[in-house]
Amino acid sequence: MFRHIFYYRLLSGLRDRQTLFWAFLFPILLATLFSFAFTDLNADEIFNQVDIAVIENDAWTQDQMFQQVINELSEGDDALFSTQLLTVSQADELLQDDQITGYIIPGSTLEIVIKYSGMRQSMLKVFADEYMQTSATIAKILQDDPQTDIRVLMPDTSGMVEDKPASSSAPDNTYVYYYALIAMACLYGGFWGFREVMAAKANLSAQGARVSVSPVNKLRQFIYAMSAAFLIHFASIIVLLLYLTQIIGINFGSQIGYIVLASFFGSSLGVSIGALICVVGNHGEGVKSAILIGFSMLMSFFSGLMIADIKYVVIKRFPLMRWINPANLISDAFYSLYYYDTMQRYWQNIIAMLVFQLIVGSIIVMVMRRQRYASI
Amino acid sequence: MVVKIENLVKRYGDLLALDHFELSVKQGEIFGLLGPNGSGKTTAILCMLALLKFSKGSVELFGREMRPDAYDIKRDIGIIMQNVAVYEELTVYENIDYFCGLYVSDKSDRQALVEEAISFVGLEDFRKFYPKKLSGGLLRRLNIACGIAHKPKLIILDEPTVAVDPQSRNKILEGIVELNRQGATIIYTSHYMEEVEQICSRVAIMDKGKVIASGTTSELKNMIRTGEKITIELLDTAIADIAKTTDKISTLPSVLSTTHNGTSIQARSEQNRHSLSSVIQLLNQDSIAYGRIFCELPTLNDVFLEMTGKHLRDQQGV
Repeated sequence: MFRHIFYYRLLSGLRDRQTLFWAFLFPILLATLFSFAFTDLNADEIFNQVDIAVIENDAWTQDQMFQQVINELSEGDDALFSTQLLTVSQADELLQDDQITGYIIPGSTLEIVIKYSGMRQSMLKVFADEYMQTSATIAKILQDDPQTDIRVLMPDTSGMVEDKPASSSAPDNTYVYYYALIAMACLYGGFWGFREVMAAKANLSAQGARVSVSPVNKLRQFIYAMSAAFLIHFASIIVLLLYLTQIIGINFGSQIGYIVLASFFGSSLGVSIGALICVVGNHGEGVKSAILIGFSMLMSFFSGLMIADIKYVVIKRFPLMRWINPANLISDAFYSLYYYDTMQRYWQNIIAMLVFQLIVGSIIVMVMRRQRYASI
Repeated sequence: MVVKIENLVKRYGDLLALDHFELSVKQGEIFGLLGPNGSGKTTAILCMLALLKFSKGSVELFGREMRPDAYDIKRDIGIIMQNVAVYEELTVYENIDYFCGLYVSDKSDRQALVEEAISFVGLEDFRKFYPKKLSGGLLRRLNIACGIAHKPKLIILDEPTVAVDPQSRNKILEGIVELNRQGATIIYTSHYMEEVEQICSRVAIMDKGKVIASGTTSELKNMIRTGEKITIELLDTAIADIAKTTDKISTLPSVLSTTHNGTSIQARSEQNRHSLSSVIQLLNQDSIAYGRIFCELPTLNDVFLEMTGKHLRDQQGV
């Protein structure tokens, strides 16, 4: 009997274009849109040296400290500036031809000449302001105590273009969006669970009435059908992961087994939550369907689908959301695999998903075991 | 008895849907359950199938108490609900095979049964069609095939011909008679009197959740005072005096009641009395010009009208 029900529910599911679109194609489409959006975003974030000029006047020649700072910031692979020493007319010419962002005229104050306003021009301005402030401070200290070691007072430029990672993996905030997207895809598996409850309950559909009067245990039938629903959804999530890793190039770390395990529990939780929403309450199909979509989107939003920082804001203000938001558990399991060097956080998420699944599953079984309906 | 329902009470909040409902169906019968929409027919069926809770009463099928887990009993039941219960994503063949497979696990046995059901409802040319490609009539036939493929001993059809074209309706009714001829007991609910009169060996009339009369169609018609119904179509020259003519006809000793609609008069005779000759005699005697006169025997609608004061058809969509 398992084979019969499983086969036909699988077949029926694979031909259900509407559910396939939402639970399978939509996350892939969204991932593609994300990749387009983040490609541009990342391109903007790639740091290129700021081309500047410094006017080689008397002030430049006399100011050893300024020369040292400019030289340090213009050396090496991670240099902030690409600097040329020019005359004012040469610098003006290059500025008009957009070959430099701006130029600095050394003097008692640093004068900045720019053509446009923008991020690169702001960097030049910030540098000049910081230098002026620091040099003024140093001058004051040396005036008070000429014995002070000037090297200690020199501004530290090492951190200006370099960030230190918190783990061995390179941090990438765009990954939070993809992990939240996977969580959303898992929760969209709720459509499969929803569909199976609709097909199984006599008070929700004519098909449900027909199978309820058949000589097969109702709960058993439902479990067989849910197995087919889960298989379709789990396969969809695996395809999504393959798409993300192979086509879009998202990094999940190298622990394939753990990735599959997280996908397994995430898919199972998603399908079960959909079934739970459908099985509880006496609202119509439309209302329940809206609740499912709303719940999935809201939980995904809280896990950083639309704004990555929301995930942290929500958890900070409502720490319990870390554990009761299924989308957060799923996305965090993937994130912890990628970001953390230890597995502790991953297992916390998996165990929380398991507990969530047991609670949801128990409620579904209790309701589905109900023998007769009050109304149909 | 294949079905024995006693003292069944079902409430939806304050609404009494089944009011001490009683029903007995013998083996081999085509039993008609007739009543307007909202009379409790479907509720009675759902209670009978152990799908609905009820406050009081008992349901026995094949001599055993019907319960949700009475799988042995369920094995012998086929159900065709008024809403088409098939899966849109499965073809005609797959739908029938799926539902049949819930009763018959052997694949080769099932294959033969499915083919037989397809041929029985005349869907041979539509095996690979999806339900949405079928017309309303063909869809109803598929619905029936899904309910009967496993060869049940008791088939319950709940208004299977709603919104079906006459051709498909006839095909369905012929099929039901054939299923009965093959040995199945049938319970057929409808608010179409002609269908019930055409195929049912016994009928129960329901109103407000209870059976108000039951028996063969002849027995039911004999239960009422109204006998034959005579309709007289007057010619133009006589129409001006139609009210006077109607009054005269109503004075005839065997006539129970009369009505007119401006052009024709309808007279109802008492049960087992014949008024046609006396009506014609009166018309000729008074030189009243008439065209056609026709006489009809009482229908189940007349039975229902007299018993409840309501027309069955008028209740549609209520």
